[in-house]
This record gives sequence, C-alpha cells and structure tokens, in this order.
Amino acid sequence: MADITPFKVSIPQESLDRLHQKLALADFPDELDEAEWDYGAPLADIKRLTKHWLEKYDWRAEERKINELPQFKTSVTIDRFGDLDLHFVHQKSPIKNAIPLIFVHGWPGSFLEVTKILPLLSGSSDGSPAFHVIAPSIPNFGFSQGVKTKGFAVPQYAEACHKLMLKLGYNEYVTQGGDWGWWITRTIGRLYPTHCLASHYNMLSTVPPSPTTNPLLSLQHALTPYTAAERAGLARTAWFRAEGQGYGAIQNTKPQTLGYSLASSPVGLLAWIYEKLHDWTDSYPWTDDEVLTWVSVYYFSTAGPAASVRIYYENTHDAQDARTGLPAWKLAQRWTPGVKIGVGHFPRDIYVLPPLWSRALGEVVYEGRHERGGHFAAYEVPELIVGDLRAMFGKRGGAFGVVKGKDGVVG
Amino acid sequence: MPTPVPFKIAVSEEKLRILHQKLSLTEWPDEVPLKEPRSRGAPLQEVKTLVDYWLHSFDWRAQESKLNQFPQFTTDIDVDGFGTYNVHFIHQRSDVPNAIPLIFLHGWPGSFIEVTKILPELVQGGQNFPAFHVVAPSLIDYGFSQGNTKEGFNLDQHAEAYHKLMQSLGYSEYVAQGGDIGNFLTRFLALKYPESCKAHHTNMPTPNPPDPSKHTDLIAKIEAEGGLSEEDQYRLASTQAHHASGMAYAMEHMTRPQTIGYSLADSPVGLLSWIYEKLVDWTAGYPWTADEVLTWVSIYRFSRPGSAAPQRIYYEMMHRESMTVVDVTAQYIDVPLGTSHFKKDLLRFPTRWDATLGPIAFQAEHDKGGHFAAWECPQDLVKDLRDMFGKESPIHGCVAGQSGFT
Repeated sequence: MADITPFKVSIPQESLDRLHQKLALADFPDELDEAEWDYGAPLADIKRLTKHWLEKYDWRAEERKINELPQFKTSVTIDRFGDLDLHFVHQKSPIKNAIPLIFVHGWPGSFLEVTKILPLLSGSSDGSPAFHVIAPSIPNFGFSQGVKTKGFAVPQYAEACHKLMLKLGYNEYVTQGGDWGWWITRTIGRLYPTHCLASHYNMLSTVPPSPTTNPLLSLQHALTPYTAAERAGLARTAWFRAEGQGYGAIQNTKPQTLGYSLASSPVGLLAWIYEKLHDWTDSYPWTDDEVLTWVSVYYFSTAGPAASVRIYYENTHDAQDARTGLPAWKLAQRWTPGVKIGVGHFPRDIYVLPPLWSRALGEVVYEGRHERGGHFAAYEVPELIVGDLRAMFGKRGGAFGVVKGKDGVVG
Repeated sequence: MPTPVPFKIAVSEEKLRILHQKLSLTEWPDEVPLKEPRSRGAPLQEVKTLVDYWLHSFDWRAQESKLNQFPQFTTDIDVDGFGTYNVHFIHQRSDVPNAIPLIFLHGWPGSFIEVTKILPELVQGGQNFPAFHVVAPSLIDYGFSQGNTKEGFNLDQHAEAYHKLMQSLGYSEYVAQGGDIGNFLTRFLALKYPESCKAHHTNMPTPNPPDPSKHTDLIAKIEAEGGLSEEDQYRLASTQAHHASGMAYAMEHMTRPQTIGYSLADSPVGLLSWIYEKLVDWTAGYPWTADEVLTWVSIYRFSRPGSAAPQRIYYEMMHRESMTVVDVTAQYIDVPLGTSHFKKDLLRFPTRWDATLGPIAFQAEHDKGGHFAAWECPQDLVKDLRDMFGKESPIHGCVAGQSGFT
C-alpha cells in the first residue's frame, strides 16, 4: 500500500499573507438597529471575528493541533471520473478487532468534526466496543482533490468513501454521518449493502411513511399523536424551511455566482459559514478560534471554497437512477435493505422529524432521542454520539458483531 | 417644506483606491465546463474580463460626470413612525409647463440610472404627444439616498416616502411608472394615495390567476376566446422556470439579507457577479458593455447606505404581517393602470389577467426586451407612456391641469 502516504496540513506562507492583506482591507456594511440574529450574522460578531483573524488568530498553532490527528492521502478511482486524491484521518484502535467506521462530514463542516469523538472511540473500556475510525475530507472539501467535471453527485461521493474503505483493507464497515454525510452514507448503504453493514445518522431528511410503500407504518403514524418533543421538532424544521434555506437555494441553483465571493472574500466566507454555526447548533459556545479554524479549512482548502458548494447543484440536478427513475436523494429517503440503522435525534438540528418516520429507512436497531445537541452533533455533544455508537454496536446492541470478526470488544 | 438641495455624485479618491487594491487581490474559483455556461451562475471568463477591465480601463470619474449631467437633488422626507430620510433623486422639469408629473421607481439590481435613457425623450413633447416632468429617486436603502436601520420599513413606508417626495416638489397629483420592486411600489402608491396617484404604469405586472369567486366574467371571457393561448402557456412556463432556478437571490435577500451583505460589501467581484448574473439572465440579448455593467455595479459599490441595505426590502416584504405583498398588489385597485409586457421579463403572466389588477387604460405587448425595459427598450417604453397619456387616451388629462400638452 505504498500509495497511502502520511499527510500534514501545511499552508504556504504566501496564502496566509494574502489572507492578511485582504482582512486588513475588509469593508463592512451597516446593520439594522437591534437586529441581533434575525437578518443574518450580527455585525459586531463579524467585525470582532475579522479583527481577531487579522491580529491574534494563530493559524500555525491551529495547524499544529490539526496535525496531531493521524492524516493520510491516497488515490481512488471513480467510475467515469478517474483518479481522485483523498485526504483522510485514519485512527487505528489498539484493539485488533475494532469495528471499521467511516465518519462522513457535510457542509459547512469538515473532517475536524471527528476530532472530539476520536479519543472516545479508540479504546474499549467496560465492554463497550472500539472502532478504527476513518474520517475523510469528502471530494471538493478540505484537503481532498476537487472535481471539475459535471455530474459528480452523491453516488460518486459514496463511491469515493466506499473505495477508500476497501483500499484501507476494510471490506466490511459501518458508517456515521449527518448533513451531506447523511445523504452520502444512505447512498453507500444502498449501493454497497454487502460492505456497509450498519449506519448511524445524526441528521435525517426523512418523509412521512407512505401508505403505498409502508402501509403499517403509515397507519401507525396516522393514529399516534405527536409528542411535545416531536411538535417542537416539526416547528424547528418548519422554521428552517421558511427562514434558513436561502443559502441552500443559491447553492442548489447558482453556485458559480456565489463562488466568486466565497473564493475572494474571507469576510464573506466567514459570514456565510458563521451564520450556520450559530443557527444550526444548540447554543454551542463557539470560541472565535474554533469558528476561524472551521472557516480556514474552507479558505485554505485544496479545491477552493467555491468547489464545496458544487454538491448542492449536482444533487439537485442529479441523474435519475436507471432502474427506478428516481434521483439519488429520493432513493436515500427509501428503504435500504441489509443495513442495520441507528438514529440519533438531536433537538436543535435543522430537520427534526418524528422518529417514526426513520423506521421507513430500513431496519432501525437503535434510536437515541436526545435532549441536547444540534446539527454538528459529534462536535457539540460528542459523548452523546459516542453513547449512541457504543449502545448500537455494544454487546446488547442491535448491530453487535455486524462486521464479521470485528465486534470491537476485547476478549 | 425644506427646499431640495442640489446634489452631485462625488465618490472619494480613497474609495476608488481601496477598490483597486481589492480588485488586484481577487482570488478566483474554478468552474465546471458546461454546455450551458450560464446555468450555474455568471461564467468565469466573463467575470474575469470584467474585473480586468474594472482594474485597468474603467473610468469611474467619466461615468460619474455623465450621471452628474442629470439634475440631481436631495431632500428630507418624514416617514410616519420611522423618522426623517434624506432622499436622492433626479428631477427634470419639461419646458412644457403643463407636463405630467411622473415618478419613475427602480428596483434591484437597478437604480435611478435606469431613467436616464427615457428621461430626455419624456420631457419632450406637448404638441403631438404628452410631455412629462420626471422625478426618479434612489429608493431608500439604495444609490445615494439615506439608508434605513429600523425594522419594519416595508413597501408601505417606501410608498409614503415617494408620495411625500412628489408632494414636496409641488406635485399634488402625479403618475407613477416602475418595474421589479418599482412595480410593487406603483401598486402601493395607487392603493394608498388614489387621490394623488392618478394613474400608474408597470412593465412587470404581477396579477394572481383569476379567482372563480371574483372574476367570473373574465374567466368566461377567456374561455370563450379559447382559453390560455400558447403564448400564455409559454409565459407561465418561463415564470415557473424563473422560480425554479433564478429566484435563490431573492430567497437569500428575504431571509438573510445581512449575511449576504457581508460578501457584497467586502468583495467587489462578489458584488459584480451577484448583479451581473441577473443583468444577462434577465435581458433578451441586450449587448451590455463593460462600462454599463460596471457603472451599474459601482452605484451599489459606492452607495450611501452600503451593501447590506438593498436586500432589506425583500426581508420586509416577505415578513409583512397581515396581507402578503403579493396579495396586496394583486388585488383590484381602482386607479387607471397601464401595462407593458416585454418578452423576457422574469415574472410573466397571461396579459388578459391584467384586468384583475384594476381598470386597464393601456396595454402593450412587445416581442423583445426583458426586465430592464427602460434600459433595453427605451423607445418602446417612451412610446407606451406617450400613448397611455395621449390625446386619444381614455385617461388623457387625468392629472388636473397637467395634461402634458401646451
């Protein structure tokens, strides 16, 4: 496996200098009186973050911290697209029969979202399972290569993740993901059901059970009143759909136009991402350094920040599957046989839909209904994600031993 | 009433210098090669060419000079419950003393500049066709008017401001013309001030489909004429296509106007692409020159209220309590209405639906032009206005004492 090479993030000084030049020239708009968050990211926050970025934020220190993660690069070949260079974190557990797990991020996240759960998944204590954890930068993001050919959509992202696992010697594996990670891991399960044997999701874009495809579940749904938590979740989802999807509309339809300001204006990129770090989390107390590191991964990304929004356009305009006539995103909402499913419901995510709807996705063996946490669950409430995974894959869990010979438990 | 103060645009050297510095630091995204290069947004090569021209050839001072040939003023207008706003406007009186006072209302991403091609023609006349006194403000939050920083400043408030502007200039009665946001503003003027706004014209009428409970006669008439024509179907289909792929800018404006404002304020290339995409997509092959594009964009870059302000009206429109803006402006308003339909506008409906909006005094369909009618097809728009208020027209003389003729 000579072509799996260790990797360290090392941004050229020239890029840092250019960033500073731009930050020093930053132009700000004004703001409505008492606007707070109603109209978007508040001016005082953006000014403060820009000032910190220019004057105090130490990228090299953050880079060193990132480089404590075991990172690598390798190439995989994607059907019809050719070779693709992938960056990934690969933490092998000291426990030999640990469960191989691929963690798939989304937007505006990155491989960094795995950082807090890594130490908790590696070891096995009190009988809970251990995992080998693989966390790529998905193509067009982070330090993976970009794809400039049209049609590289969610099935291709799924293929990239799957082929990475195969290349690392993990013929059978499990997945964890939210945001695009949800769509991608759903598709991995659909396309590679003999390899992807179990999946845990923390964001689910589910639909009400259909009376034609799921009559019993549909009936149950019709007859069971929503709990207070479910009503709150539906209200949160409605809020997101009404007030929070402008970014998605642009990214779905005119990503190139948006790309110019994302590529050329660090302040614009900062505001675009920071708004979501606030809106999509459960009052997570972001430090300025955390925000700027998340944004820097986009600013310094190999493919450039504009490439990261391509997935939205490709997904919206995805080709229809030959057999079903449905695009990949619709298929992701339908039953996937052969994949044991675990679901983490977090109250401040952007889609917070009744847990019953998830049972239409496949064989749900675990359900975590949490009282805290939002969209970036692995980062906001790592202990809850880890708790879900340990319960799901542990000795009494519904996905225990799903990967043959790798139950993750010592002895 | 305060007297309007003469105004000339004078952007500081400092602003020009910073702009040049930023342009020279532009970092470019790449692009997915496509058979339809505009489908994902403004094409890379075109934006690069424009930035290169902006940096090396575009002469803002020359464009500023050209704009300053038009008589511009500022004046303070009080808006109930909100305060005083200093409004910038072009005001050109015709030599014909009884010319019809007309207020021209722009939209996004336009500006007062859109009046400059029709103004010289409109003030002419008096013999064979009517002449107009022309008033063209920068909307509040746009161009060289003051911005607003209070929540809730909706089309109601904008209409109040421009009505009061006309009053302050001595025009107790007037007519209104607009497209884009200007279309909605003419409707609000007609609704709120029918005793003053004696007629209104839009180049982007936005009727709702006829309501079977209200428009039985119209529906019967359309049915009798064979239902919706092929052209009608085409109009509706292109409106739907716009909603599906061209409306995202509005969704961002309507929900997160401040967030996109940071990119538009800080990034000249970001502002350029945000606007330029629409200048091309919304016109019917109009041969934009680099000078035109960059002048339009510069008005936003150098605007007095800054780059988060223009989006706010969208937010307010979407979050209006009680009746939605769409329903307010689609109702029957009993003020004479003229409509001009241009081939490639973004919201296009069957022309027979216009009758649901009010008493139709004039209607024209053009097999050319797009969203920025006054800029793309100035001759046609001028002719439409002259016909709408001409001697043969049913609303000739609708403004007391100001028939437009000597």
